[in-house]
Amino acid sequence: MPAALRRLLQAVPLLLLISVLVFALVHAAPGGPLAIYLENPNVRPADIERLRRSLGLDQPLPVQYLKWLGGFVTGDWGFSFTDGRPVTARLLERLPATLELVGASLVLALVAAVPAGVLAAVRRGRATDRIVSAVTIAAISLPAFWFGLLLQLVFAVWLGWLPSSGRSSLFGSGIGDRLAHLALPATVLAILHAAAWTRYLRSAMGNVIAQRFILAARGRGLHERTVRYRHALRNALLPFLTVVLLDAAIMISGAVVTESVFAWPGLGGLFTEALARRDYTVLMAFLMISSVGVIVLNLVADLSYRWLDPRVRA
Amino acid sequence: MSAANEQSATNMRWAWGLVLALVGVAILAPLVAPFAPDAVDLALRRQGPSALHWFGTDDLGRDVFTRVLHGARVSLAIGLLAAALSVALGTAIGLVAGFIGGAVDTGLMRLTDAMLAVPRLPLLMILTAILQPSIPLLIILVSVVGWMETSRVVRSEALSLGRRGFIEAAQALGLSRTRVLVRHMLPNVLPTVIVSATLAVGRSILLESALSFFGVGVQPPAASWGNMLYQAQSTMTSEPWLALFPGLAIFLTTLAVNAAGERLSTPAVS
Amino acid sequence: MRMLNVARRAALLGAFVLGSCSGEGGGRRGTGPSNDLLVVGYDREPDTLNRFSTHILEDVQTCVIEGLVTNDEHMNVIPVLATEVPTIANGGVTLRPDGGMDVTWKLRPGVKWHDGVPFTSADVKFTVDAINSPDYNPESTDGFDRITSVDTPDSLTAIVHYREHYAPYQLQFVRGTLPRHVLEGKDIDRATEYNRSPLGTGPYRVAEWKTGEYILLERVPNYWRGSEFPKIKRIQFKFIPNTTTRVNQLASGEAHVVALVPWDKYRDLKDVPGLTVHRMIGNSYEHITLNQRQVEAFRDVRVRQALTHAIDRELIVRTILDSLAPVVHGAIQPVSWAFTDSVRHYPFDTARAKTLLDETGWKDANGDGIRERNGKPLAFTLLTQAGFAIRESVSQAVQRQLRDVGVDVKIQLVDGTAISSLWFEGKFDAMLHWWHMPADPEITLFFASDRTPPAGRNINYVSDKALDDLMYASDREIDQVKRRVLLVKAQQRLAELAPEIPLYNVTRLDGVPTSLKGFKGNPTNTGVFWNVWEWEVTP
Repeated sequence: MPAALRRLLQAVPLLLLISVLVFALVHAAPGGPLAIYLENPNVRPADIERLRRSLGLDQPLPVQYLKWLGGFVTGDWGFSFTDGRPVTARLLERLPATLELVGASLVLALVAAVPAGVLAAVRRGRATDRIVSAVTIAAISLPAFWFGLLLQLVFAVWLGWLPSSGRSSLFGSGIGDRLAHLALPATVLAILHAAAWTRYLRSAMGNVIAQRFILAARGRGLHERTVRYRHALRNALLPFLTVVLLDAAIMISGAVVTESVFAWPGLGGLFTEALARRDYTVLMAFLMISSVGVIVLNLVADLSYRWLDPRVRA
Repeated sequence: MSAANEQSATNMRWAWGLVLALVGVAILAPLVAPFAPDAVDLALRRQGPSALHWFGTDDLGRDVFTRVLHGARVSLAIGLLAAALSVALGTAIGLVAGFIGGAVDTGLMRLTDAMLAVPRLPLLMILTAILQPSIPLLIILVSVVGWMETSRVVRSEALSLGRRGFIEAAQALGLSRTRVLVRHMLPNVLPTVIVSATLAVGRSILLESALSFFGVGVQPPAASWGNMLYQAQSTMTSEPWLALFPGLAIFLTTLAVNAAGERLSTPAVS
Repeated sequence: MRMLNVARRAALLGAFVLGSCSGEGGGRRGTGPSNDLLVVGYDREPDTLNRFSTHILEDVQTCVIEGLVTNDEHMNVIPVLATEVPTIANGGVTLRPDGGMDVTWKLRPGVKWHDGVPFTSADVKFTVDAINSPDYNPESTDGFDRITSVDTPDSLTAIVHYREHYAPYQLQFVRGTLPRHVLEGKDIDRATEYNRSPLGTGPYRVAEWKTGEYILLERVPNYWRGSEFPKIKRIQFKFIPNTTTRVNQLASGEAHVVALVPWDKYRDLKDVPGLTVHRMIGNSYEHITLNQRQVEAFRDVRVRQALTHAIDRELIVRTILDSLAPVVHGAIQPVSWAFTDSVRHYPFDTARAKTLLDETGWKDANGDGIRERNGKPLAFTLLTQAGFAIRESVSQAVQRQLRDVGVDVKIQLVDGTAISSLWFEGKFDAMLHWWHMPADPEITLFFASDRTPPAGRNINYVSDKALDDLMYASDREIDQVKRRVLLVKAQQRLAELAPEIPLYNVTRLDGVPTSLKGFKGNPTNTGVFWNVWEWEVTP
């Protein structure tokens, strides 16, 4: 796939640019990795200086950046300032939890959004459309933290049906236990995204339905169902897919709030912790990995156009 | 068909009325509000809704009704202005990229990619840690991290439209590129843009509340709906009104903006 | 009460259109606490379990690694791996004529590391040497850097030589020791195996550390206090950073123990069946630091006194804190042997505050409600940490009360790391916060004129010769009775100077199962697990 390869190569300067930006931002945030030690009365200035030197933070920023870049390119991402373990190990052990949560949310959200969006578009202005609209608007009006805490209160504290947080029980092995833990955070993430997706799909389909070639298809005497799903949905899927893929990329790094509320052991939680401690190596790796993820998914989205939209393919 | 149109016109009037009313309330808040927004009275804390305090009082004995009114100024400013800014930016970039194509497209899309690639909330959290959050700054930051989705969606629509006959025909007729862009492309991508914009209003308000969740949103004692919700999280069971009213305010705003955008996004069937 | 709750739930649910699942309520999900498993809701994940490397208060480590001494629930120093706490009276401490000091630690015989190797004085010596070595970067070398050498005349005696008199010597080994036979010759900073699963002598060892989720401890078979200890088989520390979530876990029964419950969550927990919220005066105090270097007005003692008079601390405590923590008047807390209450108090008195401010020339000449002097308004920014609901409330109440006497306060919320660097650089006007106070009442660090950052934590930038002399004399005084006399005078001097506004004691609320016997709590940063070996769940 040479087109894909070319795009990947184009991504290299892009990533370089991102890395400079992000490095500057991360280091511009007030307080460094050592600020946390200031709270402890037993740590003296000499200790701080000693730690600063040992972490290489006493060198000028450009030197630190080049060192970081050299390491990053050669696969040596350094050690976490927090616990002294390799950054790669810290990211890798968090990744499965995030993929699990994002995967589940994606499936849930798609299952909810596609039928709801199609239905609303087809029955535009009627009761079904109104109900879908009311529900989606309610959902996009809810802050994730707030919605998450509400679900937690209802299903974990009052009803006792589901665990309030975490990813697994200590001795509760098995898929049932995992699903129970997954239920609330995945629902929160899914609903927030499904609501937005429903509205996009509804609009995109409404748009397509009104277009001439659909009218033409109807005119040719094609069955209404065929028109609706074969032609309208297929054409509406193009912009919809863009949104879904982008959201998926954003979810991987952006479930910060949901992971925090549900103590989910994923990358979002790692970011919050690393930002609070200004763990530069972890922050840089997290932001770079997220960027690579978005770039790859963008590529996938672009390639899918060719496949999905016959007009672009032509 | 005409009955449906009539009804949707009524809805529209109603929705625009609501949007205007909300904006009006925000502007007039200091005149309308029965109390001062920072009138702390610890002796009167956590009172339920009453004739005097319609929405009850908060943890510090302040009138919640007053704070919802004052919160409207901050939340609507962030919601409407940031949404307008980010969608305008995104539409412009997406249209130009999709229409002109070539190196311009590549350049703009790489910029979009770069901005998109860095995760939004983390980026905002870092930015607000560096810069002291003030309301104008929050508006700018929220729009700076929010235009990329619009630009990508608009571009892909423009790309798709660009391959269709009628725009090529318009060009063949010798119409200028700008004219084609503004007169023919823009109306066609408008439905998508409107949805983007209406979604962006709610999203911007919520981004502010997420920042409040991490303590870097609008600073106390100023009220925003987002930080009111955040402050209400620990009293959800005992004083639900603290969460109910700002939550309803966000819901109403999102609802009104979406309904108002509805008619505009319905494509004209010729 | 019950009806009210149900009504509230119903109202809440109805309001948010989330279906009709109100009602029967209280389905507790987790298995109850038992001697088989105790679940602890913990506010964060430890960085490393090496007690000398971590900056995090160390409850997990306390269960695994034992110090030569520990702090009990009254903040007394009691022996653990030492047979007694060395003092001058028992001959454990000798003051050398050259100004130095020797401390003799007698170790408890028969104690073994979890791998069966005997614990000896060589481990004590190794620990001191490792910490003072340039090859290892511990979090702090305080105290250790005053040690010149350690002698080990026999396997159960370690004589520690200090180059100067050092009053807090008793707590030198409160964190325990490093096992020589495991770490000798290793890069301790990167000794991942030890740092993730440290070898100790305590009642528990690490069975599993699931990153981002929990640490599971299991009892060791032959604990030195007797094989009947510890009574509880397993302890799970679950990492739940979000406070509301942590409290929800406690309410739902998924967690059994949560230490340091915020005061505003007490209401949610006090009626949870089977749960006791243990309340204990802490060793810290919330206060407002007034940065004299940054704000000229704060340099006048009358202004500082006026501000203290203007804040109704009793009201704040009664309302925002639900009377869970008492108002305090100084830096040394009632749990300390050095505490005195015979210091000057500043009762809420707006008239007095106004008079004092008038005297200093700060008057509201232009009638805008804010005092000014030489055309400059009496205004400052109050910095406090984001994410603490109580602090946000308290700062707004303070803002209001100071406004009532004509002082204009702005509030700024900043994240924890940023706040640390701001105070370290002295770049703030005033700050609402508390310190982790050491168990030893050494306050030089916070108030001596030469201990401003970076040399210390005197961020009030108070400078008073009489106070300095009293504090430094107390640091050098090994005799506790004489030391207390000096510290009482220091506290009285401090109250006169009012360099900061003390608000209230950081009173600990620890949520524990009612069926848990042996829980005693702890006011210091030793944490509540110091006596975990004797905890027992009795149905």
